[in-house]
Amino acid sequence: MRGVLFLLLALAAVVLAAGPLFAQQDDGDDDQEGATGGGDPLAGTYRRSPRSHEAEFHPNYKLDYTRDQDVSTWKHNIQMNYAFTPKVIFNSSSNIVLRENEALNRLNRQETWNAGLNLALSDAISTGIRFQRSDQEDVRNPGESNEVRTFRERESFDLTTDYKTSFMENVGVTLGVNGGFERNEYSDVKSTGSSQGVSASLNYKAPLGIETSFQYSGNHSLLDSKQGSAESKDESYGHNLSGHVEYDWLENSFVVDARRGISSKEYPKEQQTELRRADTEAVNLNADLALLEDLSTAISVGYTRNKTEYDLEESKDSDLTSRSVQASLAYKFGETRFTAEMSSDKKRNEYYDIQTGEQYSNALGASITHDFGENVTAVMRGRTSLLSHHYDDAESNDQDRDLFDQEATFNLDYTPRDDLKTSLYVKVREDNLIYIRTSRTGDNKTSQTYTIQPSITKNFGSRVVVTQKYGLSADYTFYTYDPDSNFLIRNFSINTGLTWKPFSRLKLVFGHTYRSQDEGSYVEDEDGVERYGKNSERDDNSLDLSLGYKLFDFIDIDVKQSLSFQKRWAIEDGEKRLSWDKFDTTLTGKASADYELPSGTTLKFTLARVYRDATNITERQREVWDISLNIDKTF
Amino acid sequence: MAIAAALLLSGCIFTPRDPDGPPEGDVTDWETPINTSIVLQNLTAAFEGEGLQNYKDCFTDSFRFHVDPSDSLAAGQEAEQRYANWTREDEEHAANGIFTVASDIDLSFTTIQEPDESSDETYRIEEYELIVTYEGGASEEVYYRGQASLHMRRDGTGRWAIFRWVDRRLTDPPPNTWGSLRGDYRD
Repeated sequence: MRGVLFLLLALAAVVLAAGPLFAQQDDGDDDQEGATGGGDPLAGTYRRSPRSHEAEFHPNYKLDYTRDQDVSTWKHNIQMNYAFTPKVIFNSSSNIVLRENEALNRLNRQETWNAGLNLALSDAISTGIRFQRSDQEDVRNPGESNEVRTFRERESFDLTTDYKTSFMENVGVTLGVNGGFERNEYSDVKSTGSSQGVSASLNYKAPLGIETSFQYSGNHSLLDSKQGSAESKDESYGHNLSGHVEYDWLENSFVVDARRGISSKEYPKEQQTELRRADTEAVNLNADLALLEDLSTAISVGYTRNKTEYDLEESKDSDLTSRSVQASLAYKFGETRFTAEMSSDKKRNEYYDIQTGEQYSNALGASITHDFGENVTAVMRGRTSLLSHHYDDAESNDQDRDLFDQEATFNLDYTPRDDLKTSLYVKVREDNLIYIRTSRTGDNKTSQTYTIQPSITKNFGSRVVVTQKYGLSADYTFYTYDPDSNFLIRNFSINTGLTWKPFSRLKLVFGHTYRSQDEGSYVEDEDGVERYGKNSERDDNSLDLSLGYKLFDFIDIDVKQSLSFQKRWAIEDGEKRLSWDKFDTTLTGKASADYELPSGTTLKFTLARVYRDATNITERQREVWDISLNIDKTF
Repeated sequence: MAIAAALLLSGCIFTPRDPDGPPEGDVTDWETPINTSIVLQNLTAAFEGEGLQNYKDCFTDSFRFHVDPSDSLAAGQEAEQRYANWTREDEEHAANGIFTVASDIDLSFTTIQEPDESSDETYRIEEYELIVTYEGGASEEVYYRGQASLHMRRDGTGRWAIFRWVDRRLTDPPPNTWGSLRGDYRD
C-alpha cells in the first residue's frame, strides 16, 4: 500500500506542477477556437476548455457480486482515464476479486493495480511512468488456530520512452526503452532490484507489393533475492526477434513468418539458485494459390523448436522439435462444392527420462456439398487419421501405440415448405487403439460407432414452433486379444420441444427427453456367430417446463421446472431386475433486470432461487440462492 | 489428380503398425463410460494400471485442469510454467512422467456430491487419495490427498468424459495434492 500512496502523491505533484502549463495550453486552444470557428478541421481535438477537461474525467466503477451455492464472489473494477491535455494522459485501473468458500472455509483475494502517466513530447516521441502491483492471497481456516496463508506480491515501477516515425511512406520505425524497479515476495522469498527493456520494430513496404516487418524485444533484470537465510543475486534476460514477409501476386498470397527467442532466468528455489534457460525458434511458410477459377488451394509448412534447460532440476530438461505440412483445396463446379485437406506432423521430443521419443500425426479429409434445387442440401464428409507414438527406450517404456481413426458422415437438409424443416444425420466411425509392446497389447481394441439422427421442425404461425429429434446409436468395442470382453452399447433418444409465444412478453417452452440405453457382451457363440447378451437396461425421462415473461421492459422473469426419472435394470439369466430408481427435480425462479439510468449508469441484477430434490442429495444442495449484481457507474 | 495422389499417399502413411504379439498381462479394466461413475472407474484403473491411452480417454479434447490457489501461490515464480493453461496433452505427459517413476500406484475416490446425470453436463465432487510408491532407494510411499470437482460432459454417443478438473486442498493435512504432483511432471 505504501507504493500506491507514493504513486498517488507523485501523480498529485505532477498534476499540480503541470497545472499552469495545461492552463496555458487551454488558453491557446480557446484562442484557436475563436479564430477558426465551427469549421475547424481539428474540432474535438484541440478545442478544449478547462471546464470541458473536467467533464472528460469519467471514472468508471464496476461491481459484481455472485453467490453460487457455497461460493460468494465480489469483483470491484475501477478505471480512471484523464486527458489533462491531448498530449498528457493519465490512466489507471484496479481490479479486486474476493472469493469466499464457506464449505471449505477459505478466503481468496486477488488485487491488480495499474497506473500510468503518458506524455507525448512530440508526434514521434512519447514518455511516461507506469506502476503495476499485483497481490494474491489464499487463506484456509481464517481466524482459527490452524489458519494457513499463502500469498504472492509483485510491484514494479517503470519509466518508458517510445519513438515512432516513418520515412517516404514505405518505412516505419518504432523504438522503445523502459527501466525501473521491481519487488517480489512469496512464501519465504523476497527479491528487489532493477529491470530494463528495449523494443524496436521496422516495417518496410518494398516494390512489387512485398510487405515486411521485423520486431525485436529484449529485457534484463537484476534482483537481490533472499530465501530464508540464503541470499543471491539473480540475473535474468530475454531476447525475441521475429520477422514477417508477405507477397501478393495476382490472386495468390505468400507469407513467411520466422521468430527466434532466448531467455535465461535465475530465481531462488529451496535455498539455492535455479537457472532456467529457454531457446525457441519457429519458421512458417504459407501459400494461398488460386490456380484456376473456382479452385483455391493452400499449403503451409512449419518448423518449431523449444529447448528448455534447468541447472538444479535437470530432469525437467526438454528439447521439442516439430515439423509440419498442411494442404487444402476447395473447388466449386455448378451446385457442388468439394473440399479436401491433409496434414502431416512429426515431433521429436527429447526428455531427460524414458519419455523421449517421436510422434507422427497424419490426417486426410474431404467433403462434398451439393444443392439439389433450393430445398435440398446434402453434405458428405470423410476423414482418416493416424497418430503414432514411438518411444526410444522400448525396454523401459511400453507406451508405444498407434491410434487409427476413420469417420464418414452424411447430412441431408430438406425444407419442403417455409414452415417445415427436416434433416437426417448419419455417422459411421471406427477408432483403433493399437499398443505395440506385448505388456500393453491387452488394451488393444477397435471401437465402431453407428449413429443416425433424423429431426423435424414445424412452425405453426409465427408464435408456435415444434421440434422433434430422434437418435439411434450402436457402439461396439472389439478387443483384439480378448474377444470375450467385447461389448455393445445401444442408445435411443427422442427429444421433443415446443415453444409458444402467446404475446411478445411471454414465452413458454416445453421439452421432453427420453433416453433408452442397454449394454452387454457381444461375443461369439458356439457356432462362431457373434451374439449380443444384454447385461443391463436404463431408461431416462426428463421433462422441462419454463416460462419467461418480460416485466416493465427491463425485468425478465423466468420460472423453470425440471423433472427427471432414471431407472436401471440388471439382466440376469434372461430376467430383468430393477437395480436402482432415481429421480431429480429442480424448481428455479429467476428474476433479472438490466436497467440504464439517465446518468448512463447501468444496473444488472439477477436473483435466482433453486430448489432441488433428488435421490442421494445432501441438505446443502437442496436449496441454492444465486445472486448476481453488476453496477457499471461512470462518474 | 490431387484426389488420386492423396489416396495413393494415404496407403503409405495411414498404415498402423503391427503389435509385437498377444498380451503378457491382463486386460486393463475399461468400460464404455455410459455414466460418470464409470469414468472414475476407468480413470482409477488406467492410472493404477499405467494405461496411458485409457487414462487420456477419460478427458475431453478441451480439458482444463485448475490447480488449488495455494499450490499455485506456493510455486512462486514457477507457477505459470507448472500450472497455467493445463490441457489434455499436459495431463497425458504428467501421467506418463508419474508412470516412469512409480513402481506402484493406488488411487481411490470418495464421493462428496452426487451428479445429476439427466442433463448433458454435470459435475461431481470427489475426495481422492493417491498413494505413489516411487522406484529405487527406499521404495517410499507418498500420499496425495485433495478434493476434486470433476465437470463432465456427455457426447453424442452417450459417452461421458471430464472437461474440467478443479483441484482443492483438504482442510486437514497432509497438504500434498495431486495437482502439485502434476506440476512436478509437466515439463
